[in-house]
Amino acid sequence: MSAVTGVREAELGVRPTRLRPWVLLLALGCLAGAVLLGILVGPVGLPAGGVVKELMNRLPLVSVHSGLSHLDAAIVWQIRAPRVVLAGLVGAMLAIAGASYQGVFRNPLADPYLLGVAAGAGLGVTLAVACLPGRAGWPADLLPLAAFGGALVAVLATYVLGRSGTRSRNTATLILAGVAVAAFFTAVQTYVQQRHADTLRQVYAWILGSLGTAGWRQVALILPYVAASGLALVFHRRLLDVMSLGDEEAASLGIRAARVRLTVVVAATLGTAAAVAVSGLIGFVGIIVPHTVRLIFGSSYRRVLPLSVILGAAFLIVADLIARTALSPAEIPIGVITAFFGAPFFLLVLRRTRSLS
Amino acid sequence: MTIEVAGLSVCYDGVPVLRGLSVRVPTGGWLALIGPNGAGKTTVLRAVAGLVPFSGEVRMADSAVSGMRRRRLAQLVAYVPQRPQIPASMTVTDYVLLGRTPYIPYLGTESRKDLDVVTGVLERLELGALAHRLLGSLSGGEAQRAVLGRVLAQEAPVLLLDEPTAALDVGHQQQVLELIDELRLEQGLTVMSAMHDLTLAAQFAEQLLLLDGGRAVAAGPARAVLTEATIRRHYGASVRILEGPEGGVVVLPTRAGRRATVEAEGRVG
Repeated sequence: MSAVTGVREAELGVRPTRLRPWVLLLALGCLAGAVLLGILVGPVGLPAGGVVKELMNRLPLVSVHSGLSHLDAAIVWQIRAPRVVLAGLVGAMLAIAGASYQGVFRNPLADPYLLGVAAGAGLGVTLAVACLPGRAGWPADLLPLAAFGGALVAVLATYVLGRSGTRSRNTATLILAGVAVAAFFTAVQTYVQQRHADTLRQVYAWILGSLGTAGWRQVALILPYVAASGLALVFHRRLLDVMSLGDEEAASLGIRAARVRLTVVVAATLGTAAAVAVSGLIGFVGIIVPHTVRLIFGSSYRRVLPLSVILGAAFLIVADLIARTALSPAEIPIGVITAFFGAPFFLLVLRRTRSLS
Repeated sequence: MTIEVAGLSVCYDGVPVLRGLSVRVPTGGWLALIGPNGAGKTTVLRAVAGLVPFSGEVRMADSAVSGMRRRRLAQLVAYVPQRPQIPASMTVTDYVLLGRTPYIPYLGTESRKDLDVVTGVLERLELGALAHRLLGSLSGGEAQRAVLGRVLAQEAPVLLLDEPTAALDVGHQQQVLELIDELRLEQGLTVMSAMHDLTLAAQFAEQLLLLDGGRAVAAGPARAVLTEATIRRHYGASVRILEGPEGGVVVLPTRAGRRATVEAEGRVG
């Protein structure tokens, strides 16, 4: 065999893991299906053809008569569409944040919630509701800001506590630190609620999590956070693969692991806090979606991050659809749906990672 | 590329683990760091790789390591820890490609050139057939070759290897060390490796540096460093130094006490 053919053969063989176009199309197809389903199905029966025409009518340069009444069009455009879009944004954010956390902490079970984001955001919202009663007059809605601040403080506390003591960060220590921080923040939150009983209903309505009040205003509120954070994270996909070698080897390859970790944690926390601020606490999306992607498409973050965004959006749209139709006209909190499917899945992942190590 | 280390001292949490070490490795040379557990071998490698803060000076071809950007240093020095992380579900190709990290823009992706380098490395190390296998499915020897592949893809003129053969059987130990030696001669690489097996160190390295308690206690060619008295003193081991059949030095651990017992029992029987 001549050297030249050898090189050619090898060249044909060198295919680093990348997101293949057909996989991307497949995922986008799933998302499109979920979106369509989410807009078509609801307590009010609307003709499918009319709804599709109504949606197409909104596209630039397209003008078709949908045949829907004014009220029906409003249901499609003012109730169902923003809800589907919001579910998509929140799902995409939670999924990519979970995947990114798993990458920088090299722990398959890490996700912003386990490290205290939920408890921190909860405390932030509680404090805002309890201590700033005159919020209505403020120029901007403070709740997302309060949720973000609380979430960031909680994750920082977890991070600092989880690293102290041992020089190399043990992932079990980190999760335990997250549990401790979450317990502490929840305790403070409960105390504040006891002192301000009038805030209980408002805080619990937020914590239970629902997309029921979704409107375009909420979409506009979180879109900048989710877009900036999601974009920043997707750009880090190759670096997350480098991080899988651990801090020291990443450093020997010219990467400052601590800086990458901090950037990713800040981005993921920012986005998650924004999502949580409008949707309440929706669990397990950050575990289920990335791990399903890994099981099917492999564990390179070049695939995991973009696909988590798309499939996370599709997953939460479908979960929300189940939440609002299963016991129609009553709604099940969406967190119940994701936990119902997520908890067993979480155990499955746990068993799988244990058998690998 | 010459490595020059002068007055190198390192402390971990205030405890000194290296005290005033000086050594020079010429371009294309192979220096083996030997010494008992905890002597500071790994720390020397980590300091030269810029992974721990140190006092003293480390220079690569006349430029000081301490002022260098991490990325630039990574283009000059490739480092493999004793137990490299082997992400089980990563393909060999992806893993070797990670070696190109110092050349890829921070948030960018690899170029044609990077893929060509990876192709060449896979070819050179006969990893072509394993290119799409997952690291978790490789044997110890194959995984070690993949690690070498990553190191070569880094195209650094200096290799720092911490116990490159620690987890391998005797056959694979020889194969891996031969491969490193071939690559060193072929590409003019300068190699610094920590080694436990003194006979292998004597066979492959040109120079040995014996460390004990964070200090250099002996340096030079194997025949000068590996003496029965030195090894007894610093390792607390009883060995015989034998002449190898090809002229090298063989370090043979002995069990003087045990042999006497067996002989005594033999006499009784």
